[in-house]
Amino acid sequence: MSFDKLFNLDQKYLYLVLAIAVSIPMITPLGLPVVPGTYTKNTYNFISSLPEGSVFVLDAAQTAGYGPELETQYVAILKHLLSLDVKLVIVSFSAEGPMLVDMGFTGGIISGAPVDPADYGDVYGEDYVYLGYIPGEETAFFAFGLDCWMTHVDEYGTPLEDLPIMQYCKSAEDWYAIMSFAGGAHEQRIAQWNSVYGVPLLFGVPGVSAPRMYSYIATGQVESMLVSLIGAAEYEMLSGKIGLASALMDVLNLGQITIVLFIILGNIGYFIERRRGGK
Amino acid sequence: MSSYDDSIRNISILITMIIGWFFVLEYFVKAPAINNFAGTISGISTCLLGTFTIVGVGNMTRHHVKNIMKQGKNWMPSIVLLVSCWVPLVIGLAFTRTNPTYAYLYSSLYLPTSQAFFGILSFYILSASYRTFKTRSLDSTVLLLAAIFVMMGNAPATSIIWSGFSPLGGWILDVCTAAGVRGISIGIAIGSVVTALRVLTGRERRHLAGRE
Repeated sequence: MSFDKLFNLDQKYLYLVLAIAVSIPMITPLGLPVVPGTYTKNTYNFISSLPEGSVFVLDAAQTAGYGPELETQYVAILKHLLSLDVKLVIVSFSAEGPMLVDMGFTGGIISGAPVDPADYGDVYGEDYVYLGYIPGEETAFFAFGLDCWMTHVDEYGTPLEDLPIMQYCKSAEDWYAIMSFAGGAHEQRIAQWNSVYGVPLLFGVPGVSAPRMYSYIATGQVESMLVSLIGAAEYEMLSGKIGLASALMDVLNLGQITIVLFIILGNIGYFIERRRGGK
Repeated sequence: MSSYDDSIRNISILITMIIGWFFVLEYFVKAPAINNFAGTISGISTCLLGTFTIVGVGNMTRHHVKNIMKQGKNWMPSIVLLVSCWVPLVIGLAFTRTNPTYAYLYSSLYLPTSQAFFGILSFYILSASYRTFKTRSLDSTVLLLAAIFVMMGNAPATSIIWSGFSPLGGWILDVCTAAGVRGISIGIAIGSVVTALRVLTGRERRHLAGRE
């Protein structure tokens, strides 16, 4: 086989190599190392230091497309929060949120094993609540901060006055912090929850959205964030609650390394071609 | 354009201006009466936005039913679209989202399909980067090196090869990327402020299909 062929592989061979690379860890987990990054550590430290009894809001706005990234982050954070003595208010600003919040509790292909709050000694309506989906994006962010009782009932139809936890959560003034898992509308969330109400804000973002967040973290408008599946796996490692994200990290590692190796291979071929006088 | 259309447009602009200035006032003034009224308007707006979905679905259905009846361009995908929209919608409305059929459609059909589309991207990225990511000039070399360091930094296993990948990739994102994105964000923000001022002063009419 000549070098030319090696450096100008048909795309079907590229696809095959990548498919094999990401399939190996699914069959035989490799246990490649996970090193927690700064943002994940900051997120973990922030949540670990929540005062007892404080109200923490989870904006579960994950969607199916970003599922493996955002749902794994959400489950990792949910497990940690349930193990703490905080009042957890879950709400969704995406239409798919209710399905994926339920999947977090019952288990599923992108959330891993079921999370049963009873295992952590948490009672629905006292320690945690799910308010369901609120449409309206930025207008809804503002309205929810002004009046957390705007839904009148929770996702399962129970009036909010029958849920003791809601006595602690009437407006954004009662929130200690909010964490949002969303693929978009991050700036609108910052503009309303942090700029208007001054609530500390954390994010769980897909890899593609992370670059937009760095400047907001630098200015202090965002406390910290989890990025992609890596963030979820790092958080699982820090909280000691290993789940689906850690299992998928081998796949991500090998996928990324394969792409980089092929970029290098392509460039070696380009150099050889140039030396020979090709275009 | 009739004077009736102009009157409707002027009323719309006036309402937009009043509501806009009210929310500017609400941001700076902390008075219960004003804040509560702002909450009421936001609640109404949230309901309206939810209601608009019905209009959107109605419009989409009408358009595709017409296309199917005429057997126009892509009429068969129109059938798939209408079935994909209306079957979950009817089941969801009739039996709520906890219905097993609805849950099955979501978790066994929609969820894997959505993720498959995202997953396929990695194959295209591999193919595209192998063919086009070449060190043809100084600019492309800098871009290539940055990409390699960020990608290697995002694969924690590369710390076995060299522990510097992660810090270097992090530095590129924290400093170089943040600087670029900050510039774009500030540009967008200035543009948004200008547009907002035009709306608040009634000069922005394009969203109402009006003349400047």
